[in-house]
Amino acid sequence: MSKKSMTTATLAASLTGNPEAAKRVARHQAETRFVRTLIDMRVARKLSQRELAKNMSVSPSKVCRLEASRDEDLNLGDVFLYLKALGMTMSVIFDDPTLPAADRIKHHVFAVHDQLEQLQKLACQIGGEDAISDKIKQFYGEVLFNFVLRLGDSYAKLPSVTPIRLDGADVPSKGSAHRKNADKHFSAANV
Amino acid sequence: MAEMWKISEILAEKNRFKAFDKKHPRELAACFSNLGHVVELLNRCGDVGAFQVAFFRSEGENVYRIGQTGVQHAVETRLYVYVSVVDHTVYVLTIGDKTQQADDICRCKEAVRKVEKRRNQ
Repeated sequence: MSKKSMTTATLAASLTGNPEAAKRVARHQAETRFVRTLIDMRVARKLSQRELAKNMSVSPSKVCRLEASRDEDLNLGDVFLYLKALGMTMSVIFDDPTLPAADRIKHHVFAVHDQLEQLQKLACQIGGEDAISDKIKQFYGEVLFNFVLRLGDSYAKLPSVTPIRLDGADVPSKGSAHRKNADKHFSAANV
Repeated sequence: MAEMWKISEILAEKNRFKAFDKKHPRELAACFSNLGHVVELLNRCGDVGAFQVAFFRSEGENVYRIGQTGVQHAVETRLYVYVSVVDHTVYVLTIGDKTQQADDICRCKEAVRKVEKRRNQ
């Protein structure tokens, strides 16, 4: 029996003979992306809608309705409750595209710093001799390396600048090629 | 690594899809979008019994129906599929609304029986 792999959007267009069907499928997927993520998280925790409803102290039909919604129809309170029932929290980033890029970058740097501080507190609680603590220290190295790498990449693309040298090697003019080499070096060094 | 699930149209009643798209294009799109999600879940969970979502229901004999979601004032729509664990393939069968569901399910089961009989010969 012959068969081929295809996306559901192209399949819809093929079966209906209407290319517009593919666009409509793609639009529906875009409009329900957040809801799908919620469902995926519930399924990953092996919870049925009924079990989740019990954890949320709501009726199963409410969970059913929530999971059948479009993203824009979701109620923020319901989402918080849903996530709480999954044992999760939600971080919201308010991103104003009209703000200067510098302000938006600062915002993200502060957010990363907050996460690193939480990790640091965890490492302090565990103590210095634990394997988890070693992994955290290693992770800090990875974060630093990756950050500097990407910063260097972007910096090198600025007009009239001297590229940042990371490892003493000759720095190629193209940032991406440099990153490829540096990634190899990174893996070998096992920072 | 587990075998990835595929989608096949070889058992599909094309005329039904064309006619349904003319009458209820939004519902048809929602069903196909949900089909994509079902295949993602099959790839993630490996088995059809390992997850439960409201728009995906068994009609027996490996025939499943996928409903529409996220469509306001929607006509209750069912996209029928055959989930074949033998070749990790979801075969799209037909589409219809609630009023036709008894006939649709009978026809789908008949088609699946024929396929499985051919396969076992």
